[in-house]
Parts: sequence; structure tokens; C-alpha cells
Amino acid sequence: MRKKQNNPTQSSTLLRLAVGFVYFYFGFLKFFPDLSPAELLASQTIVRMSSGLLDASTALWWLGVMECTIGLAFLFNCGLQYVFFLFLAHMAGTFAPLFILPELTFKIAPFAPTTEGQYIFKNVVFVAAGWTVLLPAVRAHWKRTLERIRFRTQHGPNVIAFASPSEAARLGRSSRQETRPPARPAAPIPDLVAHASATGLADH
Amino acid sequence: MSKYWNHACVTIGVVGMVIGISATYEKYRGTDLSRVPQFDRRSTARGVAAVDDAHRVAGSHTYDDDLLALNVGERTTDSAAVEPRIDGLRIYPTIEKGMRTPFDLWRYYGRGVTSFGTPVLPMRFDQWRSFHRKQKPDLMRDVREYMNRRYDFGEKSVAGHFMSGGKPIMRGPVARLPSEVDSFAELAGLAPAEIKRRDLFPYKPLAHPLQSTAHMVFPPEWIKVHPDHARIDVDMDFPTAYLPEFPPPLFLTTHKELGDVSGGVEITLDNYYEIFDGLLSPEQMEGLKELLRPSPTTWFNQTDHRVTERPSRGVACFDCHVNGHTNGAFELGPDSRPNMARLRVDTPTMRGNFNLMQLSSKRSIRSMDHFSEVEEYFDGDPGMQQAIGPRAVKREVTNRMGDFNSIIDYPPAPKLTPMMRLDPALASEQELRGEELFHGRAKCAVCHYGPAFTDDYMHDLQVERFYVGRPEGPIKTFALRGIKDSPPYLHDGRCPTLHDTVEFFNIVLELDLTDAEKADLVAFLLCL
Repeated sequence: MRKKQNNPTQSSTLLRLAVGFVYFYFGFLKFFPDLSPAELLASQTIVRMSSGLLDASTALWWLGVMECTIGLAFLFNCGLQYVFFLFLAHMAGTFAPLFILPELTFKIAPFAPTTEGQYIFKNVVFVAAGWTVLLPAVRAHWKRTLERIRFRTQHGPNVIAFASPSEAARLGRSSRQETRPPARPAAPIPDLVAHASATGLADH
Repeated sequence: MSKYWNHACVTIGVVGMVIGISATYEKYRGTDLSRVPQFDRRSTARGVAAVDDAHRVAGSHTYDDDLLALNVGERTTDSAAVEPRIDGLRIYPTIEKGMRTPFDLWRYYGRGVTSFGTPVLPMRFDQWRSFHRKQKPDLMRDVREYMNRRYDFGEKSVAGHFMSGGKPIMRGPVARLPSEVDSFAELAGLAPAEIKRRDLFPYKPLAHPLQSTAHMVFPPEWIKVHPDHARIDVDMDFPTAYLPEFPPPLFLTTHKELGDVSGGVEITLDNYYEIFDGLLSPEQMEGLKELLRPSPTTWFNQTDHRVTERPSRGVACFDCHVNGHTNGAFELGPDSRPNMARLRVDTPTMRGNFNLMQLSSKRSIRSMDHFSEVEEYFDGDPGMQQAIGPRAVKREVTNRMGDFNSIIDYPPAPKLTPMMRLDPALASEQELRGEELFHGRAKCAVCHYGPAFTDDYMHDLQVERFYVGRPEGPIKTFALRGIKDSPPYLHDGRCPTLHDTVEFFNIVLELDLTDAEKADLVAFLLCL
């Protein structure tokens, strides 16, 4: 029996749902002023990273959008191959305060973090969890993409590749590949001058 | 099928979470912890309706009606007048001490988590210092960019006119107009709502460049002489040319014959005795000494809760009110919370305080004693005063500070008669035309009259009619005697020159003055 590629085991499903839950929960809190405990650190970091282009409330709003998007993708197990990049960017951002605002994240750098610093350091667990959930999806996506590219290179653009034997079977095809119907020859361009002469229109 | 079932479960969970968090937030807003004020619109509307009903009944006006009217703010049939005016405003960002705040703080509103401060920094002092070493260069670069976007500080002076000590007076208007309008005349021709809608108003409030710590910011000329007041976090945002002269002359009502008694030097604890011995009464002398004696403040003190490299002795009254005048230092009015709601206030001059019934610019301070007791040393927080350095000045001492305060005179105005009108023999045609406008079409004298050119009232100019912003409330009518010596103008210095001030009032009071009339008015103001 063929294993599903995105969530091969029950534990991985639980991990995906847990990460999604936390992302969506903490992200949604950011839409409400004063409700998220990470508000100060997150907004100040983004304001500084954007060189002041974003003000604190706008920064927080966008961060909320980003986290909710990642959370929903995890929860519904969709678009994970694309969310992977958003996840990487977000994770890099969460570690940024350690370098941008060390005064707030360390009592004494680098081994005595504050509560906020500890909050950031524990994100390594998220990185690992996200990696575990996302990597199979991303790997499968890139594998399929590379296979398609390789197939096209080998067989030319007029060949269709089915994603899987089951997809081919569903469409009533016998194999994983089939030649496209040949392109229809171009219609001849009518000779308007000859047509005009033959019908006597040219005399007018 | 199971996939759809799973998705349905997750969807229910997500929707439940959204509803739960939203409901929790509504609950949270009703608590003391929330920085988002909650308005009970129904109760205000009910209140207004009740007052209206009460007044419809002829002859039924009672004391209870008055109380009811007071409770709803004002007696009006227009319920919009008592409803919150927060359209377009944002909630203050979450900020820790020392962190940058938006320059357009007038666009924000909200309540603080608490009214009370703490003498504890959010980090160790050496971290605090390195934090500001990193932040200050960027902050000051942005402050300069911001100020240059708002003003064209070309440093062009008014020919032939000087402050009382000889410093050139700057010419204006220097406020930059938005690109959509070509001239101040065109702008003044637009309706307030139109200016607001198109965001054209050039005289929006000025915030403290670092409102999270705020406190006193001294000008460079002062810092040069008193490097102990150099801040690690922020510097003055106005160019020196647009600030009062340093040190300014000091005139005494009791010794007009002596002119400037300071002799052109800054009066300090070291030299006050030799300058004033034999001129002041012992009470005045003690008062002056107290005005010169530094004492700890919220951010200038010997503790780690400070904005100076080294521990500071503190600040004296005459450190901002140099020689009884002002050096242009600014800070925040201490009368509101959260800190971000406090309005920036320039140091008002102490000249002519003997003639004023209301002191300071934003608060209604009613006596010299009160003035001496409540100044901004601890930002209106007795808890901080207790923690950082006691400054409980006894009543007899503040009385004596008031004794000296009440003999600081205005600078001479040779063209003014005892009735505070221009002497036609000394004044120019333009100055006389300006005086006529001042008392007539320009409506200045409606509030600025009497020996100090002030009515001693506080007025709400409702400047928020011209921009999306939090209403600033009533502000004291500034005395115009000697006004040429005290730039920048308005309580927060948003009008760097007298020309800007005239443009400001031309727009705000919808006076429709011509350019020639505005020039005449400035000429008259330079005589006062």
C-alpha cells in the first residue's frame, strides 16, 4: 500500500495540527491591540528591520496575517510547499531580536536570556517541528517538479505526464505518458486578389 | 470522505478560536488592564436625551437638570458633541521606556496600563547605555529628516530686528506647504473640512522626539556650557537660530533703571550673590537661590534611572528658565497619562509672571507657589519623586521662589505707551497698520489685551478641525509682551517664527488676511 506523502504517520499529523494551532492562535491575537504578550518585541523588531518604514501597529498587523496564513496552511494541510518559505522567513524573523534587541532578550548575553529571550530560544522546537512536517511536502513537490522538467526535456513539449498511475487510470489512459494530438495545420490564407478577380469585384 | 471530515473539524476549531478570542477581547476591554478605552455610547445618548426632555418641560429647570447636564459633558441637542471623537485615530503602540515613538503621536489615542511610573529601567544600566548608543544616531537622523520635511530652516533673519540681547530674529514662514497648494493664501482660502480631508495642514502638533522617556531636552548652546545635561538618548530637534538667545538679559521690575542686571552672563549658584547682593530683599535672594539649586528629576539624577552618561546633580528651575527667561528647552506637560498622550511643551518665559493670573502653557496653574511646587521634575508622579530623590519643597520656600519670580520684568518696548499702544512718533506706518489690524480685523486683541497682551484665559482653538488628530484641549493665551524674544511659538513650538504664527492664526481663525496685512501684523508684534 502506498503511503501518503504529506503526513505519513499519525504523529506527524498531530505535530502539524499542533504547530498550526499555535501559529494561528498567537497570530490571531496580534490583530487585537494589547492582547499578544509578544507585541512589544515583535513590533519593535519589525519596525527596526524595516528601518521605520512600518509603524508598530502596521507591523503587528502584517505579522498577524503572516502567522495566521502559516497556521491555516498547517491546519488544513494545503500549500505547505509554498508556506515553507514563509515559515523560514518567519522563523528567521523570530530569532532577529536576539541580535537587534539584545538588551531586551538577554540579562547577560549570550547565555542568560530574559523571559522574552527564552520565549525566542524555544522556537528551535518550532523549527524542528516545522521542518519535520514541511520537509516531506516540500521534497515531494520539488521531486514532482524536477521529474516533470526532466520528462519534458526527454520527450519534448507535446508529451503529457500524469502525476501518478492512479491519475492516468482515472482519466482512462493506459500509461503514464501520452503524446499530445498533433498540432492542427494552419488554415491556408485565402488569396483575396485572385478571389476578387474571379468574382469580378476587382473591376469596381 | 475522511479528508472532508477532518477539514470540517479543523474549520470548526478555527472558527471557535476566532469567536473565543474576539469575545475575550471584548471582555478584556472592559477591564483596567486594557489600553483601549471602552465607550458606552448608549449611556451618553441617553444622558443627552434626558437633558433635552428636561428642558422641553417649561419651568421645570432644576438643580438635578444641571447635574445631569454636567454628567454628559455639555448641554446640547447634538449627541455627536458628547460622543468620542476617535475617527481615524490609532491606539498607542506598546512601548517600553527608551523605545522610539511615532513622530505623529497626535494621531494616536488610548489609555495607559497604569498612571504610576516605576524607577526601574527595563534593562541593566550598561545595556541601557549601549541600547541608546545604537538607537540615538538613527533616531536623530530621522528627527532631522522629519523636521526638514516640515520646515525650511533657511536661517534668514528679519533685517533690522533683534532680540533684547541682540540675537537676530528669524524670518518666516518656514513651515513647508504640501505640494497640492501653492501658497498660504490659497490654503487659507480652503474650508477646514477640506484641509482636513486633503491632509494639507502645515501646523500639526510636534511630539517629543522620544516620548517614551520624554523629559527635558536642552539646546546645544546650553549643553556646551553644561555637558552634564547632554542626553544619551536624544538631542534638541530645533536649530539654534530658531531658539531664544543664551544667556538672555534679565530685567527687574524693582530696578528698571539698571536695564539688564545679568550683565550678559548666565546667573548661577556661583555668581548670583555677587550680582544681586544689595539689589534684592533677603526673601527674594533666598527664592533666587532655590531657583538656581539643582535637584534630582525623573531622568536627571544619581540613580540608574537616568538619561545621562554619568550620574547627574539634577536640574534647577533656571536651567530651562535661564535668567528668568527661557533657553527653548522642551519637555512634556505632566498633566496626562499615558506618557504618549502628554503634550510637548516649550519652556515658557518667566518674564512678566507678576502680571499673570494663570501660569504655564497647558495647565491651569493659579499661583506662584503652585508654579514652584508642581513643575515637571517628576512628571507629575510623587511616587517617582519618593524613589529617585525627594524634592518636597516647603511652602515658605516656594513662597520665596515666588517672591523672586514676581519681580522679573518684560524687556523694554520703547515704542509702547503706558496704555500699551504704539507711539505714533516712534512707530513706522507699517507698525501702525499692524496695530490697527491687531485690534481690528485680525481679532488678536479679542484674547491678547491689557498690559501683558493676554486675557489670562485658556482657549480651545479646536485645531483638530484641520487634521486627523486627538483634540488638544484648552491652551493658555500667551502674553505677547516681549514675544520676539521667545521663539518657537505655541505651546509645542510648532510655529518657529512670528510669521508662521500669523499664518497659523490666519488659517485657524479663518481671518482671510492678505500678505501685506500679515507682514504689518508681524511688524507690530516685533514692537511689543
